[in-house]
Amino acid sequence: MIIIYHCYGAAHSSVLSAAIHLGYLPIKRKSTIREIKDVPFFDKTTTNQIGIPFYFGSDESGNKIYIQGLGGSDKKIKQLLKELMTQNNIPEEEVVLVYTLKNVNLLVRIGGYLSRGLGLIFPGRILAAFGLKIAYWRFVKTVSAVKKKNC
Amino acid sequence: MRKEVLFNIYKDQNEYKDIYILVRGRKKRVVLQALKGYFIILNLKEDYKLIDLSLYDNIYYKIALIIDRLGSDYISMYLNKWISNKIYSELKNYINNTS
Repeated sequence: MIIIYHCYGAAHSSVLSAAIHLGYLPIKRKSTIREIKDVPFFDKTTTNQIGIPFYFGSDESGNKIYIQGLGGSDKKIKQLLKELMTQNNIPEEEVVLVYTLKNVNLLVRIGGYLSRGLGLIFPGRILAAFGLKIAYWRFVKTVSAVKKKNC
Repeated sequence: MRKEVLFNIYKDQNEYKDIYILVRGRKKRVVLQALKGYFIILNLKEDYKLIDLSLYDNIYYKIALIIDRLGSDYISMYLNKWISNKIYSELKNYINNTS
């Protein structure tokens, strides 16, 4: 099975979710800002890479975990995937799309915009990581629900 | 009507080809990158050729866009299919010779 965590730019919320899923970040306690900043792909993807699914790793059940930024084209791209799967006779349950942007707060949005949008990496990255730390349990809840259902 | 993204416009029975339109828009690059990524992660054979019909943009596409914005998906799609099919029929020989 393929699990794709998707958000706007595949830089923050999807990365955090995938990292929690794969055990790079703890599920029983809040991560520190340093731990969040050290996650691969965190605050790294550029606007030119929006749309590309990045392989993040495989979990203990053999599911392949991807992160993807869908920009503002969520509906179009989801429909594209659905049609591609239908045309190639791939069962719908083979790919799970998980929307992670719903869990972010204003700090992450501002931090993400500063870092990815304006290129102010230092303050933006710290702010985004801090915001993610605050909203950490929401991500744990989302990932736990995904794991319970699919692993 | 369900708004399709990748829709079949042309079935060439002699050459066993299916032609699809990937819906256009401001974020064309994003959708294309996603399409290429999905081909890889779903292990699909990449035996497709992209033809950018925006090079052959004409008044019908603009009318289709206006109709879409006015809220009639169905007529807009129909017009898009019709004009894309027409352009492809005209380009067919040239595309086959260059591929």
